[in-house]
Amino acid sequence: MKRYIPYLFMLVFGSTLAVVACRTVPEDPPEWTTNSPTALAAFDEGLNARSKYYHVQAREHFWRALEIDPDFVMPKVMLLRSSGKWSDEQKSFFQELEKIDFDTLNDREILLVRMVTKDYLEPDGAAQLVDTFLEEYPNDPYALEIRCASLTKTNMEAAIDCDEKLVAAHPNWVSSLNRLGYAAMALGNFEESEERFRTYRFIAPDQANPHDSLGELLILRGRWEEARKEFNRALEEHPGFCASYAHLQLLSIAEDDFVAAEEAVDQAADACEERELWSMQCDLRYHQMMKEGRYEDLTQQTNDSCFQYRSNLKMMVHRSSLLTGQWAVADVVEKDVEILSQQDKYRGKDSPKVLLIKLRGDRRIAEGDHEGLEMLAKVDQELIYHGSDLGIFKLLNQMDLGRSLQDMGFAEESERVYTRVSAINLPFYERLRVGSYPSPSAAME
Amino acid sequence: MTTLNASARWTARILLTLGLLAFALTGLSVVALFLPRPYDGVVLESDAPGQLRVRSVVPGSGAERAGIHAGYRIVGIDRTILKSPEEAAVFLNEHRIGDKLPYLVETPRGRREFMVELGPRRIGNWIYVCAYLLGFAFFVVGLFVLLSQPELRAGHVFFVLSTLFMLFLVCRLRPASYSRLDTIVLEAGTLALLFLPGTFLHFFFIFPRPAWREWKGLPRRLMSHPIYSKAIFTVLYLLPMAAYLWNLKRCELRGESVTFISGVPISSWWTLAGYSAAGFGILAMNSRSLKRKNEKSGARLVAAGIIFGLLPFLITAIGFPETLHTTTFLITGIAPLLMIPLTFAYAIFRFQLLNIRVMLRKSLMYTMTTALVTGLYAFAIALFNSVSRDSPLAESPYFPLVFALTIVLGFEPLRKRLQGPVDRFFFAEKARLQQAVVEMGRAFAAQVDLSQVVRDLVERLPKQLRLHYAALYLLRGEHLVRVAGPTSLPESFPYAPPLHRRLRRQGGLARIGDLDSVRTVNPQANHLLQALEAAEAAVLVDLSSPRRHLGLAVLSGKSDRLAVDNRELELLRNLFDQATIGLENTLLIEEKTEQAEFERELEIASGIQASLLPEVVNFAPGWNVAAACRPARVIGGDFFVELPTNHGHCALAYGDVSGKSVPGALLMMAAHEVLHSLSMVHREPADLLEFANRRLYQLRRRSFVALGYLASTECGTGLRYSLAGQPQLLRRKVNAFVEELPLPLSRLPLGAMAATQYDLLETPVHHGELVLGCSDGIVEAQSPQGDFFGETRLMEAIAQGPAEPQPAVDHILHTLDRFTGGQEPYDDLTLIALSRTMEVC
Repeated sequence: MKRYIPYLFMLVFGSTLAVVACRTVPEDPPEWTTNSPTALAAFDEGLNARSKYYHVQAREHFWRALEIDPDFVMPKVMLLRSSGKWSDEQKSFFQELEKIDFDTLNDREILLVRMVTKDYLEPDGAAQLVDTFLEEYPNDPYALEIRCASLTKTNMEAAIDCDEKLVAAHPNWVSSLNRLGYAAMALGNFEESEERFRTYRFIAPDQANPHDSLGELLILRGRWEEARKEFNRALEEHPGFCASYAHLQLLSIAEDDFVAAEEAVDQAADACEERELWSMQCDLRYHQMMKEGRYEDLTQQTNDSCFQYRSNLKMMVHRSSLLTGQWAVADVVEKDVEILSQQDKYRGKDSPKVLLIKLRGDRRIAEGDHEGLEMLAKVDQELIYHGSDLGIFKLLNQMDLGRSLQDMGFAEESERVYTRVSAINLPFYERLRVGSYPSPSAAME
Repeated sequence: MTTLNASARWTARILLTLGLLAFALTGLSVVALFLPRPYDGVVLESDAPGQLRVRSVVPGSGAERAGIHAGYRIVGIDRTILKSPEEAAVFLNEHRIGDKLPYLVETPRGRREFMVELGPRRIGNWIYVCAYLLGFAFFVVGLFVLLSQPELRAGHVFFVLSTLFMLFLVCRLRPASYSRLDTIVLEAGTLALLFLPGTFLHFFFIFPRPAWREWKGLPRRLMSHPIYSKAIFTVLYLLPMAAYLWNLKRCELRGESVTFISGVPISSWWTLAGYSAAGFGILAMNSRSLKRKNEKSGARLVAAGIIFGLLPFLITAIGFPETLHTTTFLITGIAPLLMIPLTFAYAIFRFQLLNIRVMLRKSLMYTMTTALVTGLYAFAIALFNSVSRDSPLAESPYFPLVFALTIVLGFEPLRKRLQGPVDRFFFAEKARLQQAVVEMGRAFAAQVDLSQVVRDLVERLPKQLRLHYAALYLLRGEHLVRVAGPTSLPESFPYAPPLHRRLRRQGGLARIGDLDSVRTVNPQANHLLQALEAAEAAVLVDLSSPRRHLGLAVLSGKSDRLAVDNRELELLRNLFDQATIGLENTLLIEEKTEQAEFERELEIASGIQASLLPEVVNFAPGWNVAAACRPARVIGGDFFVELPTNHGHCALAYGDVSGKSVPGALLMMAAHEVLHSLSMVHREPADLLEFANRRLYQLRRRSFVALGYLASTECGTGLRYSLAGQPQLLRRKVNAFVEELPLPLSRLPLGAMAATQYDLLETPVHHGELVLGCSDGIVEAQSPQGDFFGETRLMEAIAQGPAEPQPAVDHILHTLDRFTGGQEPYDDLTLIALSRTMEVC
């Protein structure tokens, strides 16, 4: 028996050591600094709603957290980070945060507070703050989120890297999945995009946004029935989710179902803000005219408010002018877009410039100039499938190119373009092949 | 014979610890399969770290009903994307059996959601059961070899081999789900597979004996060198791991995925196949050089085990999956693997490494009994149901429980009842050996003839246990003397108590290798052990009973050159317990017989001695004399004798010889006869004493006789006396005052020096006076407290006693008895008392 005593001793000693070690491991510090558990719960609900893109509810939760604990700093930060114009109270928060004692906050909270003030005052300094913080906390989801969201606007490749890092560390961080889904869609990696959106939808099936995002992709891929289900599901989850009404309208227009499109606009009345609703109405009206071949009517819209403020509608007016041979109207549209591309708010952005190339390319094709083909090819290179709107626009440009190549005698090249489009969106290709949306080359006749 | 050493035993202990840990892990792995946890039915691909790739789905499980198939990858469970299988385990454990959970799964058509209903954990099929049983069979065989031969190198390697096989079969081929334990178990299996080829090859290098002993030139020198051979084996062990890592790195650099077959990287399979082929080659080479027929047969058997055991496995585990892309036939490869441990074990048994039959005996018996009992149970239940259907007893929920308990209680007695016939039928030889040892033990216990016990020990026992020899040493004084055994052993050697104490602490016997600790503390024992080792002794047995140390038995190694195993030691321990009883009995009987004879002889001698003492003491007219002589033992050295004088009277001599018992008695007889015969010629006391001195001096040097000589003066008014070594004479005067009489000048005892002259003194003795002479036994008598009786007490006793000789003698002896408390006297006692009654002149 005596020879087993050392083993028993080692066993008991080891077990005791393990228990002591487990008990002495420090607990994680609290994520957010407040003494009130109810305030913390309200704040967490706000963050949850924010992650679902339910910004109105998020704001309500943050306000409630503040009511419970007026000294709770982070709701103030989140309210300042919310979109929209600041109220007087929010402005007072800003002044409060500028004088706040950082000793009471943890590192992440300090970053977020400083981000609010810096971001507002000097964006470059804010980015530097995040970088410094990430050097110490490379996997902090909030800091990564700020950085990735910021990069999405400026550098897509870096944004993808950033989001992939965030998802690797926090695979259930849905906003990253959403961004990665759109990024993959933009680059034409539709399978990957669908994988991201499905993952997003799996994590948050009770949110409208993942259904809506997936629906957008499905519109682009021509899987319209599935897309409609996703939009309907999004609206079931959140009837106030305006974007899904707009996408339902787009889908209906693509299907040439203007009754359904009109219903979508009607249903959006309670969900969308006035300007969003007006945009939908503009889209519906212009597409209806285009569908009905009322090109003359469309050429009359150059003074219409929809024409003035919705750049995507300018192309329909331009196309109509080409089809009806009203070159002066075409000139007006091109000039209008040219002015638009020189405006400060579009400086550094490609969309008006690309649109201008597109319009001029269409015009050259209508004039029988082969240079127009090159211009459309250039437009195709410049455009990405970012979202259903831009994606459909890119596909439309490809179809224009294909049909123009065909009409100008480049059957082989034309077929290659058709193959590409049909592989992405067969219904769209089929509808345009039968002429539901005339190509610029149709004006050559 | 393999030399036992401490390092080998330590190695065995370490291996045993590691092996038991591995066994615990595999046991845990199997237990985990049956824990009542919610389970989706997904069996994961075991070699996609961090991924949850589906290897298969359990038929009828929630996963199968949901439409999940092999090859799919689980991305998320319950609205959570998973990073590891352990996370999945956490989610599943938070739910209950019957819950439905959403799964996000990557299918060939993209990511899809499935609703999976959780069922009870039911993983694995009969293929895995076979693998488990086989793995444990490997381990049990290896464990048995290690415990039987803890010092044997081949036993160590075989145990490692068995343990690795167990880990591979139980852990590597195990179906895995999500828990961390699954991951740990699979990793352990992978690790086992990396070490398995090296161990396999190592075993063939040293089984049945180191292969390189028959080689020549550089290879032999390299393998025989302690450092180079270790380096070579290290390389052999590490090579499969290097191949594995190289394969991983190569695939990483090329951007390829690692090819797995049956859940194992293909590189590991090929390494195993290559090593097996090399091992087979070495075994073939080795078997050619083997001289003994049974060794050759054993090697062939092992070779057959490899061919028929491993080859089908490699074909179905590598060949078929790679060429036919199916693991359906894996079971047909796993089952023949059983050939390996069985043939190995049987081959080892042939070399007396392992008695496989002991294991088979028990397992077969338990299996048979279990089958029988289960059959009986089923039959009884069926019978009862058919007879007593719808009865209250049949509907009672306690009935099956009580019935099962009855069956359980009856299991062991039934097994014991069946074991005997089965043993007789299947294991006749083993039973015979055991029976023979039992009978030998009984015979020892009942034996009364020492020579028969010795013969059984040194002749019969070696034959039964296949020993070279057995030898018996018995304790003779301070030495152990060889009474039987080969002459190559020392004839005798000093008794070394530390060695015997150590043996007794180890249960009475031990291998010589287990006695190293004694060597360091006792050089004498070390010397002895070296001498015994030189004579190829292997086991020492202390022959001691609780009452006495008897001796030492020495057993050689076995004739098959292998060490005595633990079971044999246990057998020997029991046997020698009986033998010790037998030996002690026979020795006691012998000693008792000798003692009885001796006592009888002493009785006769005592009678002869007593007859020499005069019944009535004659002295001289006008004197009253009393004498008493009391020997301390049966026979004594004190005496008194009547001697003739010149006046026609008798003188009285009383003597006390040096020594006691038989030597003392013999000397007493000699002294008595010398005095008696010389007194016929030399009546003058001085002459008589002088001649008696010379004679006794010649008889035996350094033996002497203290003598007192008393005679009456011519007129009878006084006493002439001489004292040669006897105490001073005492005189009790009329007024009861006691005084010492003067001592003669020469009072050396007779026989002390060659030429000694004795002188006589005279003293008047008045009426009413009493003269007393005694031997030193009177004054040196001791009380129970250790006090001497002494002269003072003697003088007091004389003074207080009567003045008549006989009553005075009685009184003194009575006083002496009271003083000594009746205990046996240390020395013989002689007392002479004289007084005058009348004047002669």
